[in-house]
Amino acid sequence: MEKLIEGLIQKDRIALSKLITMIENDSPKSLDIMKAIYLLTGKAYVLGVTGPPGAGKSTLVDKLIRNFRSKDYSVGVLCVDPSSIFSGGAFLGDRVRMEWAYQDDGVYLRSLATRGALGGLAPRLSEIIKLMDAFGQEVIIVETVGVGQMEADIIRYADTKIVVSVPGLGDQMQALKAGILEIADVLVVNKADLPGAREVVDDLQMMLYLRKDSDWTPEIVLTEALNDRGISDLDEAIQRHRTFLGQAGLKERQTRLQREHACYGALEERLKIYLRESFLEVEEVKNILVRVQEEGLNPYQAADEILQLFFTKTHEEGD
Amino acid sequence: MENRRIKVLMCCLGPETHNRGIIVVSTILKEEGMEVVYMGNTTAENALKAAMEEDVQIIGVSSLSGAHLRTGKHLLELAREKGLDQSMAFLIGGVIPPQDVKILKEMGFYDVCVSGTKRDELVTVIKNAANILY
Amino acid sequence: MQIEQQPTTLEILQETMKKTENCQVYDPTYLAKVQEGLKQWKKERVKPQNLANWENIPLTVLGSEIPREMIYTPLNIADTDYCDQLGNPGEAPFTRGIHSNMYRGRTFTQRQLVGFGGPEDTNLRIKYLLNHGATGINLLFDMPTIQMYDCDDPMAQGSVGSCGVSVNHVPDWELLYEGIDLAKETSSIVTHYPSNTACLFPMYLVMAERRGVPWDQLKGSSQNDMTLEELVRNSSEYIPPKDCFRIECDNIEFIRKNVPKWNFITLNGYNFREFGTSGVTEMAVAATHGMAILDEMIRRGYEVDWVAERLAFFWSGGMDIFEEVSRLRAMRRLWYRILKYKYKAKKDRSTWMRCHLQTSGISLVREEPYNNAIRSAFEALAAVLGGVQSLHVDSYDEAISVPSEEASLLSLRTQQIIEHETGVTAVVDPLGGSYYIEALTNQMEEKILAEITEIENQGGYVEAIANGYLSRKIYNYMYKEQMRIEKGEIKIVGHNYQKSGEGKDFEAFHYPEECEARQLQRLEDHRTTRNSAEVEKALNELRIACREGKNVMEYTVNCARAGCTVGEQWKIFKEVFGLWKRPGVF
Repeated sequence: MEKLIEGLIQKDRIALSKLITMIENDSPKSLDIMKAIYLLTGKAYVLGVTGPPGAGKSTLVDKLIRNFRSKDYSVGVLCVDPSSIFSGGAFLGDRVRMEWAYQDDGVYLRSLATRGALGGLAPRLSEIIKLMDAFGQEVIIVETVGVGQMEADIIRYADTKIVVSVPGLGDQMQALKAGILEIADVLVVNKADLPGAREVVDDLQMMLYLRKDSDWTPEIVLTEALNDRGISDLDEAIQRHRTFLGQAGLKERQTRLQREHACYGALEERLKIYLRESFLEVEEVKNILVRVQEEGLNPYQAADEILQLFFTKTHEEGD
Repeated sequence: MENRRIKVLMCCLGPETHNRGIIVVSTILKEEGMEVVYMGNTTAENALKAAMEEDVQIIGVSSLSGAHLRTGKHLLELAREKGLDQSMAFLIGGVIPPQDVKILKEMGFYDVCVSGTKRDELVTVIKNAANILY
Repeated sequence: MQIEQQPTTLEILQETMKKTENCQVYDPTYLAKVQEGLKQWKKERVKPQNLANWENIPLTVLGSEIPREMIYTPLNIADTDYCDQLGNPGEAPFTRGIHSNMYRGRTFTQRQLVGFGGPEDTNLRIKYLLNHGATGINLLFDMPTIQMYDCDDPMAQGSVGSCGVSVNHVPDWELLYEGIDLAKETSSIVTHYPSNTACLFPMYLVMAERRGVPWDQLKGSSQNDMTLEELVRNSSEYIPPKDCFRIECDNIEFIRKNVPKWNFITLNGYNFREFGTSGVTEMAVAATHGMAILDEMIRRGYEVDWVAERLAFFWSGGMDIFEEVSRLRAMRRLWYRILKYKYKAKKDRSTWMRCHLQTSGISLVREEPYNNAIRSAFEALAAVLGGVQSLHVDSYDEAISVPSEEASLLSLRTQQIIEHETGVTAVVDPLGGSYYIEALTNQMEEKILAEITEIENQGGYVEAIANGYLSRKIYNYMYKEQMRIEKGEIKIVGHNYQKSGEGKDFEAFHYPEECEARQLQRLEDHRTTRNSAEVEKALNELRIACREGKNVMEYTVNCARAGCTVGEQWKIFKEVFGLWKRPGVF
């Protein structure tokens, strides 16, 4: 593992690739990896791009890649696609739509499957973003498919949250409004050349009017990604939001939340692993479990008993 | 590793117009629980860059117009140059005459799945290819 | 914004078709007698298991899954009026054939596909086939040429000369047709797409010009079909459907005006169906495509007949013999009705569904390759019984590689044997009048019309492509069929039924691989000897013409004269029209 971390620092692309795989697959070394790279993180600016299928997100992200590359930023892209509930397999087809990721070593693109995780996000997404950050990608774009409230997870890892909609969504629009639109920083109406674009904008503006929260007024940007229109507008909106975050101290607050979350997350993980792998093997604990299964001991009471044991044991070991 | 799924990159090299093969195989693999990175028509360079970033175990090439010997050779040579030939297995399939199957394997392809290969056979080949990498 | 609802073709036909005097086809007493007899027969002589499964669906590759009854009787066609629904051959509604004498007058053109390696390699094969009785040239290009990459483009690497002949510029054409009389031989130039037709066909024209052969003497056809460019082929780059359609119509306009004996489009058909769909969908898509073209040409100010009289179709010939015969007859009748009642065509010729048919490639398998010769023979027979104008029979080694000389010859012989040994061409529409065939013809016409309506509900042919509707339709059919083959529900002898495991060591044809190096050299030489200023000028004028909505072929002809290559012109199209991302199917 150390060799891979070394490689990551040396900007070895294969090392990054392998590390992402390890994190994605819940390697037992995951927490150690995160610990090792933590100090290297915190530099990247993360964009979350989400929206219903058919909104043209991939094309939009592709144009954003070009946009940032033209300003000489190194770009990382994570494309999340749903895994089949039945087979567990997934079709990762976003990459093929991103021509600006081809043959450019300044772009690193990785596709991730949701693998049954709730919320339309890939497991360990935050950690993988951190890996890319540590590797040195200055802008990281995360593309997910979203129509409802689940994708609110996007709050945790994205600096600027972009939600893409298109004219003609019908009922899907209602679902969108109920959920992620409430947390969006930039609202993009793509395929703006189609009839109904004006209506969508009006609809969104109405919804924003009713939204009462922070000092940032989400901007609405019209784009025609396929025709290359509106991309610079989008870029400017993102820049404005970024400036806002910096000024309002929101960036710090978000960073604090993220750090806290990372710590708790790691703590929970460690505890879970310890419990599962070590503590539950202890003789007394096994006995309690047997009683739950065979004799019908109240499982909730049993949990309390085990916890008591846990405190006693650690206390003993402390002495 | 606990959660590891078999990840396969599927592509057609060069100006291949036929996509029946790549579509059917990609669907089968997804139904078997694998993660398929679908590249469609692309060059060997792009396919290898993608394969490396995605950390796939297998690269699958669909060839239905007869150019398999030349495009296959180019792909494998490039993979060797980039040091990627040891960490992934290369498979090729499609309209391939029997006498070329041996040549392709000698070139470095793990196996050749000609059109008409049954689903079960195909899946077994891929699972074996993925296992030999561990 | 309200989009005006146009009436569908079905609605127009139902409204405008005149009903002649209602005379009984069959005497009702007679029908009652037949019905009674049938009832008795079913009670007394038909086995219970047959009664329970009276309708059977033949499961064939690319089949339409229309159920068939065990027998057909006059009752099935009680309302089918011979005069209204069938007509005599050569008269409305042309169900029985577009000519009164069909093969007694003019036999089906025997045209075998040819193309591999460099132009000089294919030139030899063309001469071989012509010497052995082929009555036309059918040219197939290699992957790079088809996809409009010059042989020195990185995408072309390794594929030059495989699957077809490599042609980049006019000098290549000269080699290809060396020693062949352009005025005499008809050539089907399989330029699949509007874009590559615009680049390649003018080179053929310039070659004729340089040989002193006037364009109005040239006979043949180009595919020029948008279905192929946008729907069927796989590529990393597409131009938007509406621009592709514009190029298609520009090509049609130019060719119609300047090369009057040339078929400017062969509505597909074949490749679309082979990709994976039924014969019904195949015809519905081709029909709506044809109608889209007619609508556009009318909009450009032309008379319907001016275009319609040269429209031609290209079908795939599947294994279900009677279905294939029936659908050809059905389409002939339907096309007549559409041209007559919807488009008010004035000439008979405009209403003819002229067609070329290629036996299905996807029905042929690797195992026991000689079986494929039998399959193709049946498919060819069905095509002849159905009344096609021209035929290509696939070779038995189709599933393995480009055909060998021997396999190619056998295909030609298949057609010759049908024509000269079986006697089927002595009678026009020999299956006409069969209760089964007429009933099935009626059914097919209904089904095709129903699918046409579905496409029209999507906004028409171009829109049905742009929004992904047709892609999804193919994908669903194709995947289902593949699984059925795997499960053995669709039986293919030797492949999933009665496997013998033979045929593994079949020696397949090997095309000359050194042709790539030769072609590269030739291209380089060409680039150095041509006048670069003229090339630049011609390309620039093409660019402007594309932007300003002018007819592109007028400008690509100049490009051919100046020595531009195929790839250089495709780049201009991409530049001006931008790239289109085809909607995914998954």
